[in-house]
Amino acid sequence: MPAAIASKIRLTPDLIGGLAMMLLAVIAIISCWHLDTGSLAEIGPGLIPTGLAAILFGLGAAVTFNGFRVRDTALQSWRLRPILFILGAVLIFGLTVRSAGIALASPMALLIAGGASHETRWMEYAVFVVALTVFCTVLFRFLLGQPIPLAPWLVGY
Amino acid sequence: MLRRTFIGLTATLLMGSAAIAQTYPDKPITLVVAFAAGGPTDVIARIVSEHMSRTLGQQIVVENTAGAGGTTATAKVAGATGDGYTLIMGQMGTHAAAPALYASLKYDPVADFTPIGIAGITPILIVARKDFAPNTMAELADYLKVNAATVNQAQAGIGSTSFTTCTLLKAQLGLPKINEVAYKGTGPALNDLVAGQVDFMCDQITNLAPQVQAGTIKALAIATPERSPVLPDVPTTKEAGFPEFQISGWNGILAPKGLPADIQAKLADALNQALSDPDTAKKLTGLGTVIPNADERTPAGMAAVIQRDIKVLEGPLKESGVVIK
Amino acid sequence: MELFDNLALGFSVALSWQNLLLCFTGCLLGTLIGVLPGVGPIATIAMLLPITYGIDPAGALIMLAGIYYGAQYGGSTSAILVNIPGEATAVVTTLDGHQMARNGRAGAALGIAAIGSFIAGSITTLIVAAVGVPLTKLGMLFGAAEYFALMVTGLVFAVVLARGSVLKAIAMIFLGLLLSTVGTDVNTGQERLTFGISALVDKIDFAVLAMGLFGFAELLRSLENPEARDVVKGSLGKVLPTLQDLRDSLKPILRGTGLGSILGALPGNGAVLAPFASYALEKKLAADSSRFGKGAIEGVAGPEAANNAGAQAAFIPLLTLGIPPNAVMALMVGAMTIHGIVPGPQVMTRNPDLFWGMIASMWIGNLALLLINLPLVGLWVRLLKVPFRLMFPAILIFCCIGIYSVNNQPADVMLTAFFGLVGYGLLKLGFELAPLLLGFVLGGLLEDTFRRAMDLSHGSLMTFIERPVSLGLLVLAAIVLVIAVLPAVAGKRQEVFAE
Repeated sequence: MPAAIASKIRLTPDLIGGLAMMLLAVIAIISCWHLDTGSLAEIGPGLIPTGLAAILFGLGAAVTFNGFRVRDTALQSWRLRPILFILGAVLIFGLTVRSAGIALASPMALLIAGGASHETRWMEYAVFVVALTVFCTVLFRFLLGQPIPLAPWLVGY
Repeated sequence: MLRRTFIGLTATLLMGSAAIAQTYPDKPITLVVAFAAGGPTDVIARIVSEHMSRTLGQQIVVENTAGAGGTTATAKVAGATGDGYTLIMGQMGTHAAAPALYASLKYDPVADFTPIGIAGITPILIVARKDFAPNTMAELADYLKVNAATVNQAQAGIGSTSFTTCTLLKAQLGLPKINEVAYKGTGPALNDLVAGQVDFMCDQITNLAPQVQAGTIKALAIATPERSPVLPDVPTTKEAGFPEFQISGWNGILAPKGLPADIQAKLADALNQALSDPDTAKKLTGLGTVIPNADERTPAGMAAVIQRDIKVLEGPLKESGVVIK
Repeated sequence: MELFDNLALGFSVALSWQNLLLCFTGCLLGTLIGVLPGVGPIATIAMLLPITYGIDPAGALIMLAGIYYGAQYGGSTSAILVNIPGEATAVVTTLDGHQMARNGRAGAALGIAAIGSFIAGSITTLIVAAVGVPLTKLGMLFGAAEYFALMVTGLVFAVVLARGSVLKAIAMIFLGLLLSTVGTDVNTGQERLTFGISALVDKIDFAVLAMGLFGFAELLRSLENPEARDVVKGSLGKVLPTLQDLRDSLKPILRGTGLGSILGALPGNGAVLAPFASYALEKKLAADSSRFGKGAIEGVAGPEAANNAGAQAAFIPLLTLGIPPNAVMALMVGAMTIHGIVPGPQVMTRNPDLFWGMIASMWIGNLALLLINLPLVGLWVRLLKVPFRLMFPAILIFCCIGIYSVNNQPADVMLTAFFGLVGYGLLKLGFELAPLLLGFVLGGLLEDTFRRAMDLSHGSLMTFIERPVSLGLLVLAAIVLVIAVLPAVAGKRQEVFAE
């Protein structure tokens, strides 16, 4: 019986999307539970976030309802490779920029990012990475004087 | 060449903070103003920091971060490193009144900060929109007693000077609760006052003077013993029959705790030079600001003022019953 | 005529060789830095501000104005080329601007943005000079309730921007509004929705959200769709707008100028609404509104003109009331205060040469922008020929460095990656990201004005209806909403009948 129901509920984008909105709204409301909502005359910190979350919940419900009715679109699949390599590159940059400096964090991030596309031609890319790193370093660090660490492990700043 | 650089760098690192102080400042300094732009704290900060930039040889950049009567930005600066590159223009509200108004204030105005010096003392004006019925303090007191339910008072958030001074005024006048409208600073509040959207406000003279002179708002009284030279037609609270309401705000520069003593000295000296410069002083006094005396501009003098005001304000503010969790 | 006397005075101040040079340099630098994805106008100005130190007051202000316009145009350029908006006002430009780039018409889009901005700037300069003071009286009508109604109208415009489902767009707007509340409460300082993460205590930065949603999420999508990407490699066509383009864009530019001038003259950040209002207007006025979202030039011309007109008109409340609508203007006010211009009602009489000099230099800044950027269009368009496999890492690293340089916080970079993931997920689920970003931008203003309106009215919601201007705006918003939703509803009814 449950299997029969499960097969009848087609997972459409609207269905999942609407549920996601409802979930976010609930998380927000729970997070704001301890805040004082106050009154309209003396609005407390919790009033507006809670109100907005409640409206979002309602909208999410409407979208979910739509998801049941309209069955024509299929759920798109996620491609994992770009996510891992691109976001991974960004995370590595963030984690290492202070300790490794722009001179090292940039090439590391760029090399990881290269893995995101199967079109990457590695010889050409290696040269590109070096050129780009030099360009960014000169531009941001020297020309614009941004306080981004250059290479703390090499020159100390 | 590389070897020399290496030796030079090592020497610098070994010489430690003394070397750092000698090279301070070697990049721009951020001066945080805890209110929206255009208010008295902001104006004083910009005037004074411009001259200080010249003395120090590095630009001081004013950054406005408004919120919670100035306490949000103050808490943020309290958590910054005391290396002299982040400073705050504190005032009587954030550094003397706030402890009495917030039960769990995220900073300690004495322990978490290193004072540099007071930059401007600001007599408090009671101002109202042009068409507000009362024209004198006496009329205001009567009007407020009758119309407390419909009147709107502007303030820059709980903990700000404008909030604190009006709270004291209302307590002294024995008024019932009056509706307060919070703004991100008295700059925006002034805008609404000129437009007639809000009724009255107690604030520092610096940004109000030009508007009073132009007649776009009216001043009911000034809370100092003598009239201000820039607003000779505005009576003092003493003349108006309310001698107990005597208060002036102050704005001063502070750094987070842990500031090395030599950097503190450098900054204090730059501030002193700024205040002693005739042009800068004229810009300040032209707006009604009182230049602090030689003692108040020093770190020790400022520390004393902070301690004094914390004690003076604690009692009356706690009695007023406003406490934020 | 007094108007021309004043302008003449202004130009005599602004047209010195030194000032002209400063203006051009400012524009050029502002554009070059502003075009980097990840670096918006505010970051650009922060980076270039030190250059203005040590220059005389009038010159410094003129250079600053040049940098500002350059940075704004740079933000529009990156919006068109790589779909990354440099600041809130460029979000609307991404909608049709980037589509035009994909259709091989990047040159036309960039060109019309520059031309439209120039025309708007010129007209607005005249307006500011002629009716600047009376326009401030308009600002007096606007209290908190009116601003709230105006922001609500802005949100409704954001709905009109939606290309797909209206319901999902509204959901995105509310998600954006909710995200704007993350941080500390303005009144009490208490933390809201921060989940104990210290990076969130200070509100989410626009740049972080924009880079994540528009930068990284789009990168992720492009990486999985090689076919869709190669369309850009097709023939690049004419580098500049054609005569037909100019003819099509003229009325949108004029309408955008009108909207921008009025909205910009309101104290408070009214100018931020100008591009959305213009886009919504053009979409509704167009004979075939389905072209919008696919590369309609009116969708670039109107908003860009509105944007520039708004930025210039914003000088009116700035100079006469001294209330800066955003961080950039605050810098300008600061510079002015230091140099003896105390903003206020008497600023025009007390410092006429500096005041009119500023106005004149604003126009010169616009001219400089046009002269510098039209030749550069060819350069930018050629950049699009760079193979995607090299383009995306470059965008990635610029975004990373750009985000880091905003606050020097590695946490910001992580947060951007997080939003990249969220954005990707939302796109997969068929949600649009522009309404999300716009809701986020307006959220702070909405909350602020709502609270103040409630404070002033002692808690009465009727205040929005009792006050005529507020009521009028809300009625306008309702009408626009109905017009936006009607086709969708009518469409559904058609389906039903067809069956």
